[in-house]
Amino acid sequence: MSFLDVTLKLLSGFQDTLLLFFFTLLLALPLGLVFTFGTMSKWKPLSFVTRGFVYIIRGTPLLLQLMVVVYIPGIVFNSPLVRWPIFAGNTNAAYFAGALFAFVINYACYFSEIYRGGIESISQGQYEAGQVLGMTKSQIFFRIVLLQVIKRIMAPVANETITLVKDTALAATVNVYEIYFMSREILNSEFIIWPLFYSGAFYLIFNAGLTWLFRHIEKKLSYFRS
Amino acid sequence: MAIFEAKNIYKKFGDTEVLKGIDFSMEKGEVLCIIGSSGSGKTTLLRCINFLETPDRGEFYLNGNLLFDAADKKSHSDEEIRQKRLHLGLVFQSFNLFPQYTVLDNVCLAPLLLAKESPDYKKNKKQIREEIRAHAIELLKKVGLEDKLDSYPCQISGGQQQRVAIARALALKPDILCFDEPTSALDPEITVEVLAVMKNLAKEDTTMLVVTHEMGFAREVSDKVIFMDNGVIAEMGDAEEVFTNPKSRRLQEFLSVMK
Amino acid sequence: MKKFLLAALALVMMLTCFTACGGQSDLAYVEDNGKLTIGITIYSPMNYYDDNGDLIGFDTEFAKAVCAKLGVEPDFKVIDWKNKETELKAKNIDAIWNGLTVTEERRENMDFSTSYLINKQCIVIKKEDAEKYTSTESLKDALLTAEAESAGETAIKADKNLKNATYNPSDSQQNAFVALLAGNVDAIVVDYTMAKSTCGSGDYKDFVMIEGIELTQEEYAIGFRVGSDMTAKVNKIIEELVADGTLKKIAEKYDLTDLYEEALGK
Repeated sequence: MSFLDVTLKLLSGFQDTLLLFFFTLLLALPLGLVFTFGTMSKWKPLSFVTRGFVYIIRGTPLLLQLMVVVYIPGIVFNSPLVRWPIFAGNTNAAYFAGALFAFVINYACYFSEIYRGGIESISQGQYEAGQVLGMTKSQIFFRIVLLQVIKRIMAPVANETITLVKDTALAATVNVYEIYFMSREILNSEFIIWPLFYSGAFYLIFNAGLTWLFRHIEKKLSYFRS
Repeated sequence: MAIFEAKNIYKKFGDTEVLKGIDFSMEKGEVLCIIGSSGSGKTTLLRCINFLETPDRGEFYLNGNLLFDAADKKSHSDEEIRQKRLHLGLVFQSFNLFPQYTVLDNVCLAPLLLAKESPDYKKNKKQIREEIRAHAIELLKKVGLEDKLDSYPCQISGGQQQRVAIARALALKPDILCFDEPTSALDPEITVEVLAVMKNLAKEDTTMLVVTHEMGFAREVSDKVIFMDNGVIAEMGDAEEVFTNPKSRRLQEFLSVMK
Repeated sequence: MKKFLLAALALVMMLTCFTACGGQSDLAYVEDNGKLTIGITIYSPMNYYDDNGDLIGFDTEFAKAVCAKLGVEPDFKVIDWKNKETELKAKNIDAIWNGLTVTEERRENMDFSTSYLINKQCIVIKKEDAEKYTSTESLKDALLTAEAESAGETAIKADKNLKNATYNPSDSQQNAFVALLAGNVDAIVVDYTMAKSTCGSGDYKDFVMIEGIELTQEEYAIGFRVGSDMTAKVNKIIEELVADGTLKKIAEKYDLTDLYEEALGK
């Protein structure tokens, strides 16, 4: 296999890596906020259940969660994931969706804890200042607190996002044909090993872009101090 | 008729009774200072009046009408409390400006959000925004910050921040402007500039309720002084009277320490 | 706590029953789907891609022939070999058909078809060590690896010399090759079919099999779900394919005639 062939094959895998990455981020970032509201809820049963759920997800390996999502429907409920009508026989889509689901839940839990830390670090005075100015709870959250929280959580969120890029390789274990899977496949069929290490370059370049992006956002938010 | 009246206010935190039956009233245009040592309940009283705490018992009246009744739990919903608050403004000890907004936006934010609730906002959007902005600039001029409109809170001094906070509280045209130890977080030389703004407001007959440790200010500016001790009003009266002729031993002790 | 455990146990049993009693026969299930989903890994000569990117190999063609007789489409699914039992149980796949070695342990998780190829285990070393390692005797102090729970591992444990060597299992046969390439081990025990197509290619060009060593012999078969009526049906089809010479032709094409004949062809 020539360098070009390997690059093309790895790129086809990297496409899945990127899809998994972007969709996870897109869904987990807002879902994390929902979890945060759940854990911070004054209604005890809701906060108890959400906290428990977040604890379980954060306390178990993502690798295991991937297996649960992909195998439990068939083993326990006799309704194999790949046969769900929604996937219309497209098994690749089924595995991808299963992996995506596990990633979104897992990362939403991590994000929710980051959000919670951020929200709790905002001084009570900010809420009270909003209250005495006649603002509603949602106005206080969205107009006053949110941007300050975003600024504070930018660094940990950036960290988690970069981890996510690398974690996508775990999806290979549940048959998502992302770049790591592809490089393994080249090794197994062509018996050449360098593509395995070459695949690292794709992650590196992508993460360089992300690092730049986050630095840019942090700079944009540096106009105020809170 | 009194513009504001508090009747028989009680407040407990756990087992600690912080307010044990507070009664007072104030007239329109009056400056009322509340003094007393820390832990006497003066800040809690101010927070109750601004609905940051809910009294366990008692009532507030505004212009003779019932504003709040602790016994009527149904009237304690977030939305009703929010409406009641609009009659009052509060300036905090720690300013609590919104760091991500400019000085001007800090002052404009609440009036803009409030204006959006009015039914004719959509029709006269531009005009209403213009009015709010003009009013905000006018207020900032009044507190001497017309040259800081586009600065962010982190770019100005503590004294300037507190003056912005005063303008922000005034922007909603409250019936009574409350201050919670507005100069305690400031250096003495900066305290002067904030007190000067407050004195000006007093001259313009702004109704003010001030919790303060600044005895000089209280004596010079206030019409009436309340001395709180251990959750009750220990002494209340004309400022000159209270300061020159304190009746209770506690007030005598307190004043001698504060000098 | 005890009550909780009992309740949990009851729940698990109910679910197991629910799974076991769930609906139609496996054959009808596959026929209803119109396709047989087959779990594979990419490994020559069983299932691999030709230069055009088409899936070929002995098992590929064999499966196509069986499916044609079944009247369903073969649907090859590349899986993680470690998860093959789970994939089968979860019904994500209907068969494991990828040079699957018959072992007693595996019978707990799957039913095997008629064995169709002999699986010999062989020892692969680097060419430079060819004079040093000539017998299992010479390997008794060496570093070894094989795929965990594989026929290779069984062979190591069964051999009086190899069982004394330092052995660390790998998580796949492919990783065993990488370990040899990296020099982490001196020798690997892998499937003969795999070694035959791998040694001499790509980065493994300097790998050789040690000739003339007899290790335990095992057999390749297709794995179906436990109790599945697919097994009997497919066994019958295999008989037909043996009788009409189809399977022999496929074996010849992939240079596996000897292994085929030892298993079925006589």
